[in-house]
Amino acid sequence: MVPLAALFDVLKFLFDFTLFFLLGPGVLIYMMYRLILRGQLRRFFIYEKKDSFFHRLDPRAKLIWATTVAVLGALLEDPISLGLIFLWIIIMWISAKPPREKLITAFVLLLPVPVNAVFFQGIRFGYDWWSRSFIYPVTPVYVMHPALDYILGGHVLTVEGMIYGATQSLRVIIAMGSALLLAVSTAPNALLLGLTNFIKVGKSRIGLPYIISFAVVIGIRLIPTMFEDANIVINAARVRGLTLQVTRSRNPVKVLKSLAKAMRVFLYMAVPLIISSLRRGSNMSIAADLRAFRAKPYRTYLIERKMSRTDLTFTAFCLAVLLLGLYYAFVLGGVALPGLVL
Amino acid sequence: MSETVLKVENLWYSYPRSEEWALKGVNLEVKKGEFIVLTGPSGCGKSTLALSICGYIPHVIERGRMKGRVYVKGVDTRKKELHELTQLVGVVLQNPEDQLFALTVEEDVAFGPENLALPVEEIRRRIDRAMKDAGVWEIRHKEIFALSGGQKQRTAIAGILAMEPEILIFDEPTSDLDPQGAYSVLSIISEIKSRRDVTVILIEHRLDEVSKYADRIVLMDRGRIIIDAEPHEAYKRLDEFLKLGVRPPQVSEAAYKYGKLDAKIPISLEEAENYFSRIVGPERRFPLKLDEKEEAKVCENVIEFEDVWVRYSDGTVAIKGVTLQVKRGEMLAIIGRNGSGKSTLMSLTVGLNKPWKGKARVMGLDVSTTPTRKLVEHVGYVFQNPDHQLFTNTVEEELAFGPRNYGLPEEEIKRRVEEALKLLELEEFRKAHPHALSRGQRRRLAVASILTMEPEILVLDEPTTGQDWGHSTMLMNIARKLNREKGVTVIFITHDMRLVAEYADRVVLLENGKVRMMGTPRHVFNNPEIYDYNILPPYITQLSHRLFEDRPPVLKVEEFLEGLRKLEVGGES
Repeated sequence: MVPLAALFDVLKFLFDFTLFFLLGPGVLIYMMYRLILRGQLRRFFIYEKKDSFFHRLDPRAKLIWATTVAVLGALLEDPISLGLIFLWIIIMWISAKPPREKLITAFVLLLPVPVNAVFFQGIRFGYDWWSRSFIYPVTPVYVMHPALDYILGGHVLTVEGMIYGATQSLRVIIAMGSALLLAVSTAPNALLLGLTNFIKVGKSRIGLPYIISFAVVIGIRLIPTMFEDANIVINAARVRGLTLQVTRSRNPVKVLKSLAKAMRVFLYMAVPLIISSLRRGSNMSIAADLRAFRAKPYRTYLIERKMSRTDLTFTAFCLAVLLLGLYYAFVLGGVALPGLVL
Repeated sequence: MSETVLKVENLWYSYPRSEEWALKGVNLEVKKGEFIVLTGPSGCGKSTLALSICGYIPHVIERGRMKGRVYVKGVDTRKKELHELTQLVGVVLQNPEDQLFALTVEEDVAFGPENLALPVEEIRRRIDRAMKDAGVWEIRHKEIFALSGGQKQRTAIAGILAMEPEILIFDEPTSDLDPQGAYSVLSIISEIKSRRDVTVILIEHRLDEVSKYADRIVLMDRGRIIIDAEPHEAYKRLDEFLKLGVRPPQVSEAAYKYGKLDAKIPISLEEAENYFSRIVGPERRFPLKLDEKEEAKVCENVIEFEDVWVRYSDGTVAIKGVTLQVKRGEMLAIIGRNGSGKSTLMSLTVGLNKPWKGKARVMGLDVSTTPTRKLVEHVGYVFQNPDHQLFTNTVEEELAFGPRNYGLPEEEIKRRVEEALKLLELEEFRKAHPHALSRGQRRRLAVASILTMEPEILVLDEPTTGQDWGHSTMLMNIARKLNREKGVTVIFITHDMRLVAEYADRVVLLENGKVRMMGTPRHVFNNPEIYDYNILPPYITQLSHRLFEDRPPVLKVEEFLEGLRKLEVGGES
């Protein structure tokens, strides 16, 4: 009986280890790799001019909206409030009429957040590792091999932890979802202008220093090029006999080996990518200097954007929601932790 | 007499942390309104001289050693701020991608004047004029990422024009462009010169195209100016260009080598037509019979495409029904403008793209079902940019990288590495870091690292872009050696028609994902329809078409000269 129990124990460990440690991250890495390989991630960050309500908004109004939802998402705890904010983001995404491909990419980009939060909070929420016991009463969903305590920091998946993880991930998704929408629906230069000239009174401007926002916008502009370069580098590695493909074998040792190999390929790729970025950066800095970049302590702008009536109304609405949210959080106690009764 | 706008006096310069002088006592005087073509082999100091003239050296690169003086409009560049100099000297660099900072054409052109904090009305006046002069007025509201290479470079030119400099320096502005883009940029430069009262210094390898615009040709070698003369005079010393691996205009080369007429050496097609018309005779018939028929190779097909279509994941159809067979031991050139599908078609050979429809076979293997890892056992693919394909820390490791991935025995790997080091003349750099080599050396290393995999088919994607003629021919000679001695099938994608004429057995012209022409270079370059695809045959072919009524398919200067000599003998007899 003892050998059978020991065998079962080992099998259970291998099963849990493979399912919760190897396959989870493995699937996410694979999905990201597919995105890069198919060029979707590259295209995702390319700004496309469109005639939609969200595209037409002044970048400053969009920034205020993104700040509002991120602040409220961070402050409020109860699932209903977070759900409403999430709904607001969904509505804004729909109003921006994104193509299906961009929606799928956004989904894959955001997916690791709930998957990780639900899983890790699911096993760690309320769990005291040193005493190997829960400090709250919990409802277990699945009990893994106890040895996984040392790898994952817990081994019992609980309903309470998963709900807590879902709530937490909603807050991150709110912040990321609004930032992604801002990035894909706003021309980098418009965003730059919005950031630099946030408020203009007479000749003085309040906002980010131009040099910082310029660097940020150049960074954004180069993201598609970086992905294009990454694609070429992956192909260059492939034609030299390297492969990024993770084996389809069910043998965990083979899977582990092929994952390690894929990681090694990523490390090889880093060299040409970093070097070509440095070369590009150096050329761009020459080109910018030769066009009098930073020549003077201030600069002028060809296009001075003015907020329209719609922009002002939308901004006022966002600020009102922000004030209401703050009132609810701090006066009515919406910020109290946690939303769950355990 | 025009005023001197630029004076370089005994200029010596060495970069920080370098013992070697990049410039060794350069003297140059340029008058207002002159058009100077500055040329020389890679690494001869052309770009360093340009950066010294515009003040980037020593204002930004501060720690190098500098002796001598540069005066722009009589003012020592060291005593003026860089932003003041940018309004006197404008520089357009090689790669348009690195010079554009905004999202739309108009916003990008305004970048410089905005930095100078000019009033909005002045910015508007300058950018409108600049966009009209650079030929981007019609596309001023377009997004940068949607522009072609030529349009991007013209936008970069407009950005510099908006600074209203008196001296314009163009540092190899066409080397990253396809023939159409290069033509549009060179035409715009000559137009700007005629419209604005500016002085132009054009750094260029393509002397065929630019010599006719030049008031002077300046040839540099190892940090020194060795020829500074009016073009007709400069090409009297044509041997010096050839010795340095700099390609003089073919028409000048023909006249120089013919050497029997006591007239000015021609520098353009028009001048060459006049120059040689005296010898051609009234019949205007070329005396040599040049083979127009394609040699039928009896070898088996190593690549077979049957009605192949390729569609990207975003729905774009890049290849539309291409049928093509490549024989073992062929040297095949693929030509066509950027975006015509050349690289996509060739990427099928290693499975980086898969056919959407149709059949593609490489060495009998079905590309649709064979993984890349298997295909690259037969096909070596060298990408355009060497920087994207060097992964390791030493040249030796780089060469061993591919064979090691295939688990070959160390002895065999060593043999292949040594052979490749020798063939590509990289032996002295075996311990060097690949990215510390010069661009030409990196390019050779990229090729060598594929050769160690001993492919039966070698695909070179634009192997000579941005390289001088000397380096280009060296690389292509190696490809031909492999082809002739080892029977390697070589496919090269190129925009350089002289390379096609010199090296290809057969040429395929792609346009919009379809094969539009196919045959020997003689056949393709002799077809008048080629001009419809914005491809100009080599200048010597064009000259032969102008001179002789029977449109002989001349490909090389030597053939042209042989014909002329025969005519001469016939005439005398």
